[in-house]
Amino acid sequence: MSQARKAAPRLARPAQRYWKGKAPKGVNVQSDSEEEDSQQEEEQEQEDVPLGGDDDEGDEDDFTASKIASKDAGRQMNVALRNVNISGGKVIVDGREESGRTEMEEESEEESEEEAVAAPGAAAESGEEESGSEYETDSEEEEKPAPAFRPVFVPKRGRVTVLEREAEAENTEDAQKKKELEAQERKKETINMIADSIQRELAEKETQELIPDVDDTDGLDPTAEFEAWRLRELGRIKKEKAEQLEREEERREIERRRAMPEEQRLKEDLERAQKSRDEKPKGQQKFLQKYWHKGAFHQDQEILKRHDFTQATESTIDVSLLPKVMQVKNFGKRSQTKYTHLLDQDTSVDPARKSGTGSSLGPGQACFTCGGPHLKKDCPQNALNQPGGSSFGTGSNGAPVAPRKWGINRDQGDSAPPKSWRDRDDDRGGDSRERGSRGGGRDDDWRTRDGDRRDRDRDGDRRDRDGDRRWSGRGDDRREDGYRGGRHDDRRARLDRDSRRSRSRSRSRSPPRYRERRRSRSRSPERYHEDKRRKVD
Amino acid sequence: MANTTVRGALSIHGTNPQFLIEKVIRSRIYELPFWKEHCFTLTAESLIDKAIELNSIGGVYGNQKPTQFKCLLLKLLQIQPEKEILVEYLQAEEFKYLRALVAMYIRMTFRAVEVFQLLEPLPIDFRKLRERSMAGYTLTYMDEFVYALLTEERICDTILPRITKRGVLEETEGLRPREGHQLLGEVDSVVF
Repeated sequence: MSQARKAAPRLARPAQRYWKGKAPKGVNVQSDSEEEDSQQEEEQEQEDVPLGGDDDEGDEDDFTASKIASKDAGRQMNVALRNVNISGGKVIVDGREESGRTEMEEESEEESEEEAVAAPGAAAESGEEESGSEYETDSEEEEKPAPAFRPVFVPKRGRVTVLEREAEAENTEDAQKKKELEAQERKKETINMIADSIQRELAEKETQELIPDVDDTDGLDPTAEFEAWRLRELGRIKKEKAEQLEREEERREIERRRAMPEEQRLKEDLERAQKSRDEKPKGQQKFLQKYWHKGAFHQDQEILKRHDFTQATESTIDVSLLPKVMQVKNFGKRSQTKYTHLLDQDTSVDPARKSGTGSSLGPGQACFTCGGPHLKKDCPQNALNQPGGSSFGTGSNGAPVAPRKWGINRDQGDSAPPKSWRDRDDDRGGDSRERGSRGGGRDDDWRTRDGDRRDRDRDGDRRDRDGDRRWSGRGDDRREDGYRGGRHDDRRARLDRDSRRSRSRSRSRSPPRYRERRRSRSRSPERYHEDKRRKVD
Repeated sequence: MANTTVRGALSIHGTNPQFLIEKVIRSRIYELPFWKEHCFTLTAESLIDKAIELNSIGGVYGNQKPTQFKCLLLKLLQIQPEKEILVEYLQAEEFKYLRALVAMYIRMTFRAVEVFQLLEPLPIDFRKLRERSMAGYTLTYMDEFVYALLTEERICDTILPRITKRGVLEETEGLRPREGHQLLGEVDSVVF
């Protein structure tokens, strides 16, 4: 596993990139170069890329990269600008034509050249190359005057060589045999194809005739057929007559209804509606049962026999056993509302007024404190918690208060506590004064009479009006001491009287009430303060 | 080009007469080799020859393949021959399939009154017909076929255009009520 890997053989130098028109790196650009040098360079240059793969050339050792690397150091490519002439289809560089071969090759060819020259009329297949090369070598030695043939392209059709070859091939026996064989095969194939098609057609025809097992030939049994037809025709006529009768019935019904008076028509309609409603099967549903439709597809045929879709599923629970909170259709879902049904929301019926059982508990309700079957207010626990039995209120409403001084119970506790001077005056002075001050303008003679009676009871001294008048005068003196203004007194006194009267025998209409209110408005701060002062701690 | 209706054809029931056969089936007919080879150049006369060779009526069979009956029906709709020609065809007693074909064509194209008038005497022909359908071959009768044409909506996988009911026609246009055929003989009340 941890054996050291051998380093892969790498090139000591990276590949050199060639830019067009630029001499590669490390090239010695010399204006003149000796031929020998050039030859040498060429040779060695071509060592790197051996085209012909001649064995003469170079050692195979030279292929190794390291060798190349070492040799390259000393070698330099000789790239020089020389005179280049292209004439007669030949490239002549510096007086010497370029051949596609190295010096070595050329030299080797020169040796064999003599032999080649001896047989100039070589076979056509020997190729133009050799002739070309021979020719080149020839030209090298004999120089230019020999005419140069320019190589011209001959298309395939025009080539004599190819045509000759093909003609030859055809004539051979083998080829002829092959042709015969092929012809025979083709014939066979065509025959097969024809046979196939014929068979297919036949088969089609046969199938066409075979399949209709239903025979439609007539005349096999005329009488029977006729009878059959007759029956059918009669059946049709019967159907038509039935339809016609139906139409007649409907028309008659329409006429009848139109002739009927309105109420009778309505009555008949209602009866009919009622009947149709009764005919529908009404399933029995449990309390808060969820509607589960069984589904119409993927069922047996028995579902057609009026299956009751309102039937409860097997997993329905008796909802009435659950606590009240859970007695809803979608318990736990966000869409759940507290609304149950309309009667539940009805507040016009006070559940406390129910006679009989004082508790009006719905299903699943219980006393809040103890859980018993009574309301909270009737809970026996209350008796333990609060002394004094059930009070008229709970919590802060249950604190005891002093008996009220105003309102209907106003005069009950009159005697005991000392009154302020204001109260005293209102009680006594006002009434008596009022009686006298107004005479005819007011319409409460009967009131004064009643008030008289009461005042008589209260005050005792005054019997006559005159006496009252006198009193009133005294009342005035007293009042002037403290009241804010005399003007109010009359009104206030009047109000007192009226209010008292109205309360005891309230036959009065708006004016006393108005005055009463005004009175209460003006007096209420005092009363309030009084009550507060008197509150029992 | 080949599947267009003949030039100068009247529109039937407000549409191109060829559209009386539904698009799906029509497309399938166009693709049939029978249609392409044989029905291409049919005229009113040459259609008789083809119709004589029919051996069944029907809509589609097998794998939704339309019958030749249907192809010829479509061809009739395409070339829209004249009324007289059709009446003549209808009276050709010898070839029942031709008769059936023309009867269907009349039902689809003619006005209601004419339909009843022309097709009413047909049920007397009680020959057998072979009906080819998805379920295979069944036997039916000419009178049943014509009666179905008059009363039902869908025959041979084609929706028939609506015609007024016979009762309404009797009231409004004075169609004579259906006459019992003499061949029936006396109709007994017991039958009802």
